Amino acid sequence: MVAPGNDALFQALRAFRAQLIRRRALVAVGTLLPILLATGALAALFLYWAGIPLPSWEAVLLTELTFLLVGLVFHLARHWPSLEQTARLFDHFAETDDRSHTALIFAQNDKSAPLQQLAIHECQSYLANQTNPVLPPIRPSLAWLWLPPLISLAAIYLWADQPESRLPAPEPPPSEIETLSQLNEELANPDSQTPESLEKLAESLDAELEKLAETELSDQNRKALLQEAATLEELLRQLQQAANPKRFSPEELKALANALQSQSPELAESLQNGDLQEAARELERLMNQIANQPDPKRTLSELAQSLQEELNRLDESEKSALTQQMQQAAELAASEEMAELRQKMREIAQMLQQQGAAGGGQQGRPQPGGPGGSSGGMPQTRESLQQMLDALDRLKEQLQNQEGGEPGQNASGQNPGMGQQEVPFGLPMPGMGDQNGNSGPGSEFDQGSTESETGELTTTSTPEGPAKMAQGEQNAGESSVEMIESAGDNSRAAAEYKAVYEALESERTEAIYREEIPIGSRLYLKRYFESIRPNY
Amino acid sequence: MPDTPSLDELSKESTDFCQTFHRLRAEIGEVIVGQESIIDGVLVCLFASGHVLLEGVPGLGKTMLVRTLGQAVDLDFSRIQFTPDLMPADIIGTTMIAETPEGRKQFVFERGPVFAHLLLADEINRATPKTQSALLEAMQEKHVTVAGESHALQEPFLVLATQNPLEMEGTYPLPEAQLDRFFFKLKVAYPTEDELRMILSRTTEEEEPAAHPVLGREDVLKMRRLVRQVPMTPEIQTFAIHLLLATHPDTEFSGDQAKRYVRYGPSPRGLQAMILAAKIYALLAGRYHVAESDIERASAPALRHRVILNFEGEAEGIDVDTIIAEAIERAKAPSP
Repeated sequence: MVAPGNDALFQALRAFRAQLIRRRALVAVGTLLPILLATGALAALFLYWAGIPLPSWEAVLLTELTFLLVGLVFHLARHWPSLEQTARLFDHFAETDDRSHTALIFAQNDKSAPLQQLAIHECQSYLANQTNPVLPPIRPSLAWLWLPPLISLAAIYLWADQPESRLPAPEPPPSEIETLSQLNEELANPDSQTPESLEKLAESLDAELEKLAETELSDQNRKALLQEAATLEELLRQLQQAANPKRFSPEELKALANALQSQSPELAESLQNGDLQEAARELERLMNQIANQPDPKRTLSELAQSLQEELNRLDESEKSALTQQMQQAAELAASEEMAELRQKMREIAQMLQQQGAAGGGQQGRPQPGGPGGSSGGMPQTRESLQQMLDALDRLKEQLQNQEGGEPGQNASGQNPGMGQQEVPFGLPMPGMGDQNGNSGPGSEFDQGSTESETGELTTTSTPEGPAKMAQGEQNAGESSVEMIESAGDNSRAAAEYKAVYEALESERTEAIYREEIPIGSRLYLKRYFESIRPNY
Repeated sequence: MPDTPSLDELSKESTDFCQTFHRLRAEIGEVIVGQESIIDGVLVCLFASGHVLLEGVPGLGKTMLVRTLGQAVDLDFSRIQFTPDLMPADIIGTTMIAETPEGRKQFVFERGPVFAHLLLADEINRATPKTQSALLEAMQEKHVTVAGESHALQEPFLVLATQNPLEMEGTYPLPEAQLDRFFFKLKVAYPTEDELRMILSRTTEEEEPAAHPVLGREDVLKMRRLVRQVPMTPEIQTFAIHLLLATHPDTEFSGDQAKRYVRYGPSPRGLQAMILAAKIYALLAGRYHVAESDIERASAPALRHRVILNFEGEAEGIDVDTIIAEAIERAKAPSP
């Protein structure tokens, strides 16, 4: 209830309240802005340190503005002044001896006493000549200092969990990755598997890897490069294997010749003569003949039987991949599956052809072994392949060094533990060994404690060898406990002198004031107690 | 039902209060040199129906002040010099055998010096506690009981007691219960050089100054009634209560000094004294309401003799006024 005639007072107070709210908003912004900026910087620093991609500046700005607005609304809602508070603040700043507040309180009472009405009139006439007080300079509130850590954590949490689409675009792949991709494609083409081509490719790979050693790669590119290198290595291993085919045993070839003697004497002869290229052609020719027969069942049955008989004669030590193929061919012939048998025979012919090319065949199509099956091209091919594999090994080592090493490998590759790695901000990280691969704190050999306070390895070696910990079971031996009685505790005070003095304060005061002590002597008593007071 | 005074009447009454107060102070100032705050304090006690304890070394004009006040307000004045052999009957009076005109003997109550408007209890701490306590009933209840018969004291009744803070031998410090009966405790300071010169010129020349009556008994009672009508807001009451609690050692408002050095805080009577004095200060400031500044001004004289220091406080020589100043700061609302 507002008594009539007080509109001017309420209007003035509302105007002052608006001024206060603007001021408080300014204080809130002035307080929050530095905090938010500092928090943003802290969060960015942390993200950089943790290796998390930084968000876009729009996201940062949006987050900061959101926090600013939320903080502003929260602050104003919490500090929204009522009219009574406004009046008290007005009195505080204008030094009006509580006039506006008193007038407001009395004006809200419709049954105010006569002297209250007089007070209202006096206050209003006084305030009518009063201008709005000059407010002191704004200072940001220090009570919000607890906010930065909280906001930092929230910002870090939000930014770390943002979707990939908001992350910056990945870096373009460096030329090294493209080079490895091209190498993969070229090696997959059989025409490029000549010794000359392989030699050129090896030189090209060496040159690219030299350039790569001076290049700083991002995580993403490092992974892509490792993937390409792995593909290339697999291809090279296949080629290497192909360049070093395993020779068949003479017994196997003899068994194959015997098994096919009845079907194709020429084939058997070629096998016995060691002309595997010719044997391969004869084998294909034989399969064509069988396939063209109107009723090949009998032939297939004979073939299966002869193959099985010859295979049974072979010792285990004489068996190789050819034996396995022959076994499968025998089974296919027995089951009269002509198409599969023909395919299997082609594989056997191909194996014979490769064997012939690698092991002194007379002629053949171009292979990693060299054109025309020349045995003179093989070392060159193997050398090129090995050169490329070595280069790839070096590449892997470089990449792992850049990455900081993997557990179990260090920079020197000698000792288990962590390799030497680039340390963010120079801070030692858990799980790192030293440069020599020693099992420092955090390594896989770390026992969780060290023999010295600084964590240095202090294990000594004796002339007989390194010191070893004695084996034994704890608490297994005998022990004895003896209680020794002494008078030590009895000689000490049960409580501290200071505590006793403080506990007896009331008794001391009572003694001074209540006992039958001459008034003139109380001063001396006080001085006595003063003299025995403990030093604080 | 009494007639409610109009606003104009109240306004005039308030203006008169202020003018009378200042006139009275000026009249006392004609005799007493300096000591304005002491004169103000004594007059506040007069209009707030309280008693005042003046503490100061001898020769500072305490007795002169009280006598001058008696002259200026045209009230009965009596003086008791407290000594160790002073008896209660010497203060309140006694019954004596008197002969009637008819020749019969009867007991007649012979009034003591306490039956006056203004009573100066000079060096009150020299009397024994038994005699001191005889003043208790008179100061609080405004009547005395002798031989089972109560005798009312005249209004206004104001006790002005003095004590010497230096002398310890042969004195009986006032007990807390009696100290609490005093509205204000005023410390009479030593005069300055100029004041001493003026004292010399006034007291050693041929014509000594004298005060003239400014107001009478009825005026005093009327002004007392006006004082009690001065309104105050609940917030100001809260401030005064918090201030009082802050001088206690074991409340949520207690400051560090109060916690460490105070044995007992002021009683609610101290709060009443503070509010009544603040109302007078408000009227003197031309206001019709009590402000925080009035409470602050009244707090030290109203509370300083009610704060009982503990042994450590006394040993450290702590001034109670510093504890009250700390309490004021703690009671104030937090600044924006």
